[in-house]
Amino acid sequence: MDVLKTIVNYVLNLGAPVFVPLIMFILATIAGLKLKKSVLAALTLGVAFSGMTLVVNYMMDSISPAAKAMSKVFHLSLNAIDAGWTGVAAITWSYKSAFLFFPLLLAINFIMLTFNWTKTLNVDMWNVWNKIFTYVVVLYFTHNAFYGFLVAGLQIVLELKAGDMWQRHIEDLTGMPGVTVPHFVTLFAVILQPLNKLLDFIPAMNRPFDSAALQKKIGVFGDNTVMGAIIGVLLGFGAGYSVSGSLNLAIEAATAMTLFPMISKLFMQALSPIADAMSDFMKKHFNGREFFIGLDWPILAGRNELWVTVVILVPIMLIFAMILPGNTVLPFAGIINLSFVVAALLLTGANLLRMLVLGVITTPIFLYGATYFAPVITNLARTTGTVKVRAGQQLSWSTFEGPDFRLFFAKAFTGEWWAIALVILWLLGFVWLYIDQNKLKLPSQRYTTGNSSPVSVTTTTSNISTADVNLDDLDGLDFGTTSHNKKATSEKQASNLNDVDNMDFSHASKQK
Amino acid sequence: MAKIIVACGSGVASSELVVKHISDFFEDHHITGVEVEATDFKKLPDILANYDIYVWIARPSEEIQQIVDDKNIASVNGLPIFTGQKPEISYKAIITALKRMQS
Repeated sequence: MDVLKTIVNYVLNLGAPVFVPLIMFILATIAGLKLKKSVLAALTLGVAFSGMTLVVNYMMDSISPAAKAMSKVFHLSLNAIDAGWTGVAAITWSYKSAFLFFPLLLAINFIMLTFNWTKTLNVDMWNVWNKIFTYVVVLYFTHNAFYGFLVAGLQIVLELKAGDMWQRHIEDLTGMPGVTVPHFVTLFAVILQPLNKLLDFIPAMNRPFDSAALQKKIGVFGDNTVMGAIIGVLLGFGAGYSVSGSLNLAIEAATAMTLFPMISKLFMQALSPIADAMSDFMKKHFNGREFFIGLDWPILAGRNELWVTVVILVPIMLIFAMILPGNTVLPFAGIINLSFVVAALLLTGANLLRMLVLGVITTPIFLYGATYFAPVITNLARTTGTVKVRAGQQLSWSTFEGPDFRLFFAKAFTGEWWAIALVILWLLGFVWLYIDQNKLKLPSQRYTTGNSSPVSVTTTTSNISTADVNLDDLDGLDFGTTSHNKKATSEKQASNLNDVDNMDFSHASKQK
Repeated sequence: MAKIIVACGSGVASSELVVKHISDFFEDHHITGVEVEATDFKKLPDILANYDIYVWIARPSEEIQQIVDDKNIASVNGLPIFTGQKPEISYKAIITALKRMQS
């Protein structure tokens, strides 16, 4: 027995960058991956951890001194640096029980589909990380793993129900049938719902608004690199740096901002074999059943309103961070408020004015959430050993996902009576939202003037026609010398996927 | 060299997943000479013109559609790959577009 304990402890003490890839390798092997792919997936995961550690530490080293200096100048207490969702997700994946949440999600979804309690089949395995994170938060406050799993399980159930209620609105907004977004961020609509109902009484809020032109104008500011540079330079000036110091900080900040998503990609690459195996398993079991495929929120990202809203909210968030009493978070990597905007888009039916008003009103909720949960994130970073956080510094996430849900439920399980009351209220709010969403008019018919153009639902959306292409016989096509010429692409071209083997396209080039 | 771009919200999760599927498909069929990359929607308008095929998982906005039309880029609905429901529909479209470039 002691021997076993020693072995288990030894493995656990290897540290996340070694231990988690090891688990990954075992899981990938079980999932039936070829050795080469299993090894690659496991190594990529290890590389992703180390890469994230590098970038977060780099960010901390360049931003923290400036944040400290600026705090002195303006008498603020901004000691929590914002690692954004990408940073927090990376740290969360390094948590030792992370992989237990795949089966939890599958089991709950499986049961609910079997008993017809939901129509949503969630194949979005990437966002298992936010269940893991909920577990981490609950564990931090209650020190009870069972409560952690309970709340994470409840979150999964609520997400699936949310997937059911959003589906028809998503079809209307995007023109895509049969898909939905059972994502944790959409649950923020519970908080937005009463506010949005109040906006019904303001006539200006009931008109459609064209945001395409606006997006073209402000699009450049939404770019990660540009935004990093702008925040860096402002921070430099705020901290009283010289011009050269501020410009250097701008480049450093832009570097961190640009590298974050690049590293996160590695996580995705590493985790995708597991995700694939899981969703294949689910789809096999419910073959022929009518269900909505639950996907990640980017299927909504074709809507301009989403981007216009988050970009306009960036300066507002920075201003709030400076003036809110007691806020400790300096918004940086997480400044694009995806935790708010997806729920707002769905709830308001992509009404830009409403989204902006709701965004301004709720920004403090996120900053205070980030302030409140900074010790949790800092503690997680320290215990997993993924990031070095120096004394007097904290790591946080300015647009903390679901601060309401996580705070109420974690605190309720510590027996705080106010939290229990809020949990009951929140759940009632969810029921109200659910009923209302099922009754509500579709987004394209919701706002009075009626000249908003609904997206026509079509399924032929590729500008290519594929007459009988056969996929069984493609091996070895090479597209090396293809060139993309200026012919109209309307001509039909029968391509048979049975004889595309060994094609090489390395000389293909698009003629300008 | 043929170049394919996939876009999503952050260029991290969904698009990367689709990229991986497409790359695996090419690998399984020993198809060479195609680069597949992921990006985020905010960068897409600036770089789209450098690519031959746009595989989308969110309906292209007017701005994107304009670039696709102007630059004669093949646009392929990547949702079947993303959802795993009949992904061959997307693969066929991709192969057809690649072959058209060769001819």
